[in-house]
Amino acid sequence: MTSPSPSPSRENTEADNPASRSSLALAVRDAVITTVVAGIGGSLWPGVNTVVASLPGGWLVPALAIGLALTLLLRQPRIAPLWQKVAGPLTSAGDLVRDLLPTGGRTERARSRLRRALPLVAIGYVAVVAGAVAGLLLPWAGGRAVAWLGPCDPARELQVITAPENTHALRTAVARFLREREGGRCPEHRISVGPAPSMEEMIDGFQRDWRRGDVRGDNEPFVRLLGPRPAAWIPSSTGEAEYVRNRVNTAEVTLTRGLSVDRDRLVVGMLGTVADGVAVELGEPQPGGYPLGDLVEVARGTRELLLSYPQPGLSSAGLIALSEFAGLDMSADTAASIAFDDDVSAMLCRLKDPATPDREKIAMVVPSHSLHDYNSRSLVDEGCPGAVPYGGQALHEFASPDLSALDYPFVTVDWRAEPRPAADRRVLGDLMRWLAANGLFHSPVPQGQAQVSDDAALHRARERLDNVLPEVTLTLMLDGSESMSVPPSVLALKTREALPFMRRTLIPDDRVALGAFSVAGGGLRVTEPGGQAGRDELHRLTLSFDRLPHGSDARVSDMLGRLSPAIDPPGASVAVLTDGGLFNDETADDAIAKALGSAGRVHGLYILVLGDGSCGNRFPPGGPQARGPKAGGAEAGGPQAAGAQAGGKPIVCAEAGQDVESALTRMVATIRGWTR
Amino acid sequence: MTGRPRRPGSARRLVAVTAFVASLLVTLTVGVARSLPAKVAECASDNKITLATGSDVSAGSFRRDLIQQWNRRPNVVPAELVEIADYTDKERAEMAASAQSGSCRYDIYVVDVAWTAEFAANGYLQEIPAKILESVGPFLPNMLETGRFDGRQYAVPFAADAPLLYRRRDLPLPGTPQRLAELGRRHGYTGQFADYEGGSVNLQETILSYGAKIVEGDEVVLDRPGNREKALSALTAWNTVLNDLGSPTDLREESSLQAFRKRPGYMRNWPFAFPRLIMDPSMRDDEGPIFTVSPLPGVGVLGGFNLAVAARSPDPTAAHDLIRFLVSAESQRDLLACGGYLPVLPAVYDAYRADPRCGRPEAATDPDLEIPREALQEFADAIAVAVRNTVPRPRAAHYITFSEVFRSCAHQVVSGALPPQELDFDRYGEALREAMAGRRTAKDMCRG
Repeated sequence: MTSPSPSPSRENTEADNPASRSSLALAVRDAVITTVVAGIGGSLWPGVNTVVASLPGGWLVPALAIGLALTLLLRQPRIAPLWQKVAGPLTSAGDLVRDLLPTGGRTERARSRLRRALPLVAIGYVAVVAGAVAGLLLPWAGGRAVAWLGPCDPARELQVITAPENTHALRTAVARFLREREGGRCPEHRISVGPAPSMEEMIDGFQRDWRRGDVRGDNEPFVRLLGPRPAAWIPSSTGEAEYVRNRVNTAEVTLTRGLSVDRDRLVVGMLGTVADGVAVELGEPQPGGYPLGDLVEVARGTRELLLSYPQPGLSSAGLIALSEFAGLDMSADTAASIAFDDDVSAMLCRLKDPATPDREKIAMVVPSHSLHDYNSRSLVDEGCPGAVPYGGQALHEFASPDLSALDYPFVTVDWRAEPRPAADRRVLGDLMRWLAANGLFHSPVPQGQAQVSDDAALHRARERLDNVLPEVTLTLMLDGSESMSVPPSVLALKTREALPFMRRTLIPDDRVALGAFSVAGGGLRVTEPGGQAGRDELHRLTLSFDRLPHGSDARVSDMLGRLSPAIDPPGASVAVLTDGGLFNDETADDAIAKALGSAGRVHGLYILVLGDGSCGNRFPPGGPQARGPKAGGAEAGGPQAAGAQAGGKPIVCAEAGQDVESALTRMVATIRGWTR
Repeated sequence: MTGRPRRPGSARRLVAVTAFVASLLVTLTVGVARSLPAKVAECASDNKITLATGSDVSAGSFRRDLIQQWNRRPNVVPAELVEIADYTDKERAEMAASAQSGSCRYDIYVVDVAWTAEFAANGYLQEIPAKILESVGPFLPNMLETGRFDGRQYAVPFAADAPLLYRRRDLPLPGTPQRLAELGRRHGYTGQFADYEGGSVNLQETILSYGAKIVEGDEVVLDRPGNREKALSALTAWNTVLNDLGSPTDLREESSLQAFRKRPGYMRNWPFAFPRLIMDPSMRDDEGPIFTVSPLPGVGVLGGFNLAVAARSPDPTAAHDLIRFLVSAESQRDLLACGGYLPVLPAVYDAYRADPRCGRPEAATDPDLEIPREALQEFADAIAVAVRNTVPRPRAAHYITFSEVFRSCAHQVVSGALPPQELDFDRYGEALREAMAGRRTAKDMCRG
C-alpha cells in the first residue's frame, strides 16, 4: 500500500508551473504592499492630498495606479534583488501562515481554486486601474482641448484685500500668479485686489454682511457695502489678524489664518537732506539697526524731527507703530506722532509733495517696502504719480531690531451665507502657497529677528491711544445754504454720510455737537447744537441732519458772534462745513479772523471747504503755526490748509475736494493738535 | 462524455475587457456627477426688491430719490438700494461673484452697459418680457441694443451716457478729430486714459474717430489692412498731443475734471461734469460761464446703465413693476435734474430741449443757483446729438478680458511706453481674438 498521493491540484500546479506560481504570488504580494504604501504615504502629503481629493474616487484610483506602477518598477532586474531582501521576510511570514492553515480535501480544493483564480485577479486588477486612469485622462484631455481651442467658461470672481500700501505689490503678484497658472488657457478664476478697510470697520463689516455702519432713519432703504465682499485678506501681521478674528462673531463668517506670504519690518524713513546728519550722530549701526531708544533720542531730541505714523484708528501700520513707541513715549510725544493721514500711502504722497510744509522735519515710521516703493517707482496706485525722487529727495531708511516685524498671513474668508466651492478653495490655497514661495515684495528686508506684534499688544496700543490723546470738544456748524443741498454736489448729504466715520479718529472723551447757520427771512438764523455726542453716539447727529433748516449764505463772522455765548463748555473749537459760497459775503478779508478773536468761548476755528470750492486768499500767512503736520498736498481732491492766528487762536481753512470722510478725520486730528 | 475544453486565454480576455470597461464607466460617471453644479435651493421671497448698484451719493443721489418715491407709493413691494462701490469694475466683480455663488441677495442689477452682454451670456439674468418694454418705450435704439444678447432682451435701459467736448469759450470748435488733436496740443487737452474701463472707452473713441474699425459683429478686424494704419495714426497723434503737453496718462473722470478747472482748454468727459462746472464760481466770469459744451467730434462710445433681473430672483413680477417705474418719463426727467445722467426715452430729450431746467424744485428758489438758460439750452442740444451719435462697445461674453487686452497695447502707445512703429498688429489682433474667447495669451501681445 502506497502512501496517499498529495493533493492533485497542488501537485499538478507545482509540477506544471512552479516558476509562474511563485512569480505570480510574488507579484500579488508586491502589488498589495506598494498599493498600501502609496495610499498611506500619499495621504500624509498635504499637497498631493489636496489634488487627489478632487479626483473622482478620491485615493482609490491613484493608490491602485501607483501600486501597479511600483510593482512593475520593482520587477526590474537591478531593483528586484534589493526588493526581495526587503520583502523577503513578508513572504516567509506568509509561508508560515500558510503552513499553519489546516490541510485536507476541502482546504486543498479552496487553495486550488485560489491558485487558478489568481491570474484572473491580477489581470482584473490591472484592467481596473487602466480603465480608471483612462476615465480620468479622457475628460482631462477633452477639457484641455476646449481650454485651448473653444470659448471659455466665465471665470469665477474672487476679491482679495490688503492694506492700501500693499495693494500695488499684491496686484502685481496676483497677475503673475494667474499668468503662470493659466498660461494662455481659459482662466478659471479672476482675482481682483482692493484696499482693506480699517480694522474697526472690518470687525463691523464681517458681522454685518460687509455692510458699512451707516445710520439710517426709518424710511431710508439704502445700504452701502465696504466694497466687493472679500474671499481672502492679507493683513500686515498675525497680531492684526487675531485682533480682528477674536472680535468677529463666527456665526456669519469664518476667518482662517494660513501661511505667511512675506516678511517686512517697520523702519524710520526721512529725507536724505536730513538723514545724513542723523546717521553721523547715530554712528555705525549694530546688526539689525539701531536701538530704538537711540533712534528716538536723536530724531526727536537732537534733530527735533517729528516721528510720525498714520492714524492708528485707520491704519494697521499706524497701530503697530504706536505699540512700538508706547514704552518710549510721553503722552505728548504720542499725540504729536500721530499724523492725520489715513494710511501709509497717504503719508508718502504728502511727503512727496514739495509744497508740504516742514517735510524735512518728518521722520516716517512705515514698512520698509513702502520706503522702497517711494524711492523706486511712480506712486500711481497710491494716488500721487510723478517722477521718482532721488538724491536728497529720496527717503533713507533707519532700521531697528526693536521695531516690529510684519509677517503678512494669508487669511481666507468664508461667508456662511455663500459656501465656497472646492475650485475656489483650491485656487486660494494655490495663491497662498505661491505667494509664500515667491513673496509679495521685492525689496530687501532689514536684518534682525524682530518680533511680530500680537493681538494683546495691539489691544494695549488701542487703549493707550484712548488714554493719552488730548480730548476734543468740537462744534460742527453746517453751512445751511441751498447750494449745499442741490445736485449734483449734494455736499450736505455727503457730509451726513461721512459723519459716522469720524468715529475712527475719536477717543471716548471726545464730544461733538452739530448746528447750522444760514440767512432766512432777511436775517441770520443760527441753529444751536442740540447737545453733545460721544463717539458711540454719532448716530444722533446723523439723524438730526435732515431737521436742520436751510436758507441762503450767511457770514461766518456773524455766526461766530451769535454762537459764541452758547458754546458749552467754553474752549470748544468750531468747525464750519461749507462749499465756500459764504466767503463772498464777508465785509473784509480779515473779518472772520477778527470775529474769532472776539468770540470769547471759541478756542479755534477750522473751516472745511467741501466739493470744488476753495479757501481763496482770505487767511493771511504767518503767525505761529499750529503744532503738528499741516494738511498739505496739491493733488486734486486733497485738502490745503492756510494757517494763521486770530487773536492768538488757531484758524485753519482746508479744501476737502470730494473725499469728505478723509477730510473730516484730518480735521479732527488737526484740532486735537491745538489742544496739545 | 467530454465537453470542449475551456481555453484559459478567453477567460482572461473576458475579465480584462469587462474590468476595464466597468472601471472606465464608473470613473467617467463619478467625474461627471462631481463636475455638475450642486443643486441649490430656490430663493425664498423676502417681500423686498433689492437693487445692486454703484455709489449713489457720488452721483447726486438721484437713484435714492427714485427709490424713496417708489416706496411711498401704495401697495408696492418695497425696494432697497445696495450701493457696492464707487467704480464700475468693483460693482461688476461683486455682482458677478454673487450671481456665480447662486446668492439670493439681489433681485435687480443696475449693470453698466459694458457688462450686460457678459451677464446675459453667463446666465446671471432673466429675460425681460416684451410687454415691459412696450409699456414704457420707445427707448433710444442704441441703448435698447445694449440689453440684447443672442436675440433676446435681458435688460431695460435706465440711464444713458455720451461723451461731450468741453472747451474754453474763446477757443475754436474743432470739426474733426484731427483738428481736435491739433487744437488740443496747442491749448491743452484732458481725457481719461488711466488703466480702467474709462481708459478703454477713450482709446476706442480715439481709434474709431480716425476711421478704423475694431470689431465687426463678434469678429476682430483691427489688424486688417486699412484699419491698422488708421488705428496707428490715431494712437500716434494722441501720443504726440499728450507728450507735447506733458499731460498725465492716468487721469479718470474726476481728476480730469479737476485738471480742466485749473487750466481750461479742451476736455473730453461725460455729461456729469457739466452741472459741476457750471455751478463752480471759478468757471464763471462777468459774462457768464467761461466754458461751453458740444458733442465730441468723431465717434463717441455709448455709456450708461441697464436694469436687469437676477436669474434667481424669486419675484420677477415685482421687479418688473419697479423697473417700469424707474424708466417712466417722470423718473427719467428727474434723472436729468443736474445729476448728469441722460434719459433713455427720446421723448424726454425733446421735452427737455423745449424747456431745459434742473428738475428739482429747490434749485429754482435761489437765483444764484440757477443755471443760465442759454447754458442749459446748449447742454440740452449737445446731449441730444451726442447720445444718438454714439456706438456701443463690443458686446461679448468676455468683454472685460477684451477690454483689458485692448487697452494694454493701446495705452502703451499713447503713453509713450511703446513706440508706435513697434506695435505688432498681428500679435495684437491675435491677442484680441483670444480675449474675445476669454483667454489671455502668456506672451507679449504688443511687440513682435
